Amino acid sequence: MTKLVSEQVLKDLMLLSLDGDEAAYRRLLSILRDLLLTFFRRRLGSNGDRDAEDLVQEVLLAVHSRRITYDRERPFTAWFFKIAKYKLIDHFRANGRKSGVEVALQDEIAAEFREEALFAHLDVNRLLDRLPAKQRELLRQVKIAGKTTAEAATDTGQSEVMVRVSIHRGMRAIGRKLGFANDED
Amino acid sequence: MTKIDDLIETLVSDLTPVSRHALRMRLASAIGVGVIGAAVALLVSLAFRPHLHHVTVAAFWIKFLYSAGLMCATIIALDRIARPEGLISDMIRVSAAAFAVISLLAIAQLVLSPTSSYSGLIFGYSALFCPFLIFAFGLPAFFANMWFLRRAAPVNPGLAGFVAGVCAGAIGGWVYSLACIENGIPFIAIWYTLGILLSGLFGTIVGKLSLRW
Repeated sequence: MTKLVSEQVLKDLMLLSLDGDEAAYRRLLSILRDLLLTFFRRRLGSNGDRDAEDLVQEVLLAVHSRRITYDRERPFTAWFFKIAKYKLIDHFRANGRKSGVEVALQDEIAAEFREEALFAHLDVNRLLDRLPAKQRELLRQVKIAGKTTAEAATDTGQSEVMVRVSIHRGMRAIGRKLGFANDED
Repeated sequence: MTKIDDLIETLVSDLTPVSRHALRMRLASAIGVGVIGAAVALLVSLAFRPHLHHVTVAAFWIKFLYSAGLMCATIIALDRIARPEGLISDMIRVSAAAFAVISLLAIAQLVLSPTSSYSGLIFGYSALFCPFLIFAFGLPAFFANMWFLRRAAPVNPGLAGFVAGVCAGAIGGWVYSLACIENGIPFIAIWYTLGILLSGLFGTIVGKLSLRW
């Protein structure tokens, strides 16, 4: 259900973008950036941050310069993921990781590069989007980027206790939206 | 992070509307250039033709329809392969079916003809150069197809080049069929197909070298 909604949201934004709507296009590219960043980072491991950002730029550029190849009658995500996958495999190839094990690994990675996995992130982003900006940012830093509450506190200039309280409230709010009122964390 | 945001702003400011059939229009102009190019090559080659031969109506239509059928299937395949998520397996099946039909007709013609006529039906006058002429007639179409693909998003460069090649070969064969002097169906099944595949092989090589993005 959420999957359909997500595809629909992205597709609507893409169709508006193809008609020249700049606001929709900015929104679309921002969503795609978030999806890609999380995903490439996870795929490329701990010291692949720079590569992940380069790849995100490559994919966004490709989406832009080859948007003529998107067929309005077809799902947007299938089109988009093919481009992202092409760039990821190209990245491995360019880095000369060609041993048999690596190739097998690439295939595995490519197979894992499915819509569901990315939609999981999209849905998290959608949930986060409904929270107040401060809470959202803290949850991103601590629950997604994996920072400690102490780091988040210094980053945002709040006390660590306030950060903990804010995160706790944010998690409860998300829990309520998902339909379970029990406290988490 | 900010670098990506800058990029997004750049892309947004570069946004221009894309019409619904933009890619197909581009493909149509590539095919148009290819057909015109082949027609010009044909007119030029007619000047060098030594003498005229009688071609039966049936033989003409079989050549014409076989190459036209392959041309349609490969143009559709080209439209699909230009898109990252495009699949062409059904068009491969259609092309294989066209080849199966013409092979059956060829075998039927051989069965119904005396053995003495086999050499004429299979090799005719032009077996040695027919595939190469089809390849040559298809070259303008090939370059037009590559121009089209280089601006699209094929994710399999070798296969995309192959499709561009067989499509160019089919266009070359279709135009060539208007002036071909052969009457044997086996001739068409063998030498037309070889000419088109030769073009496809060439396309595979060129595609692998030039269709990365």
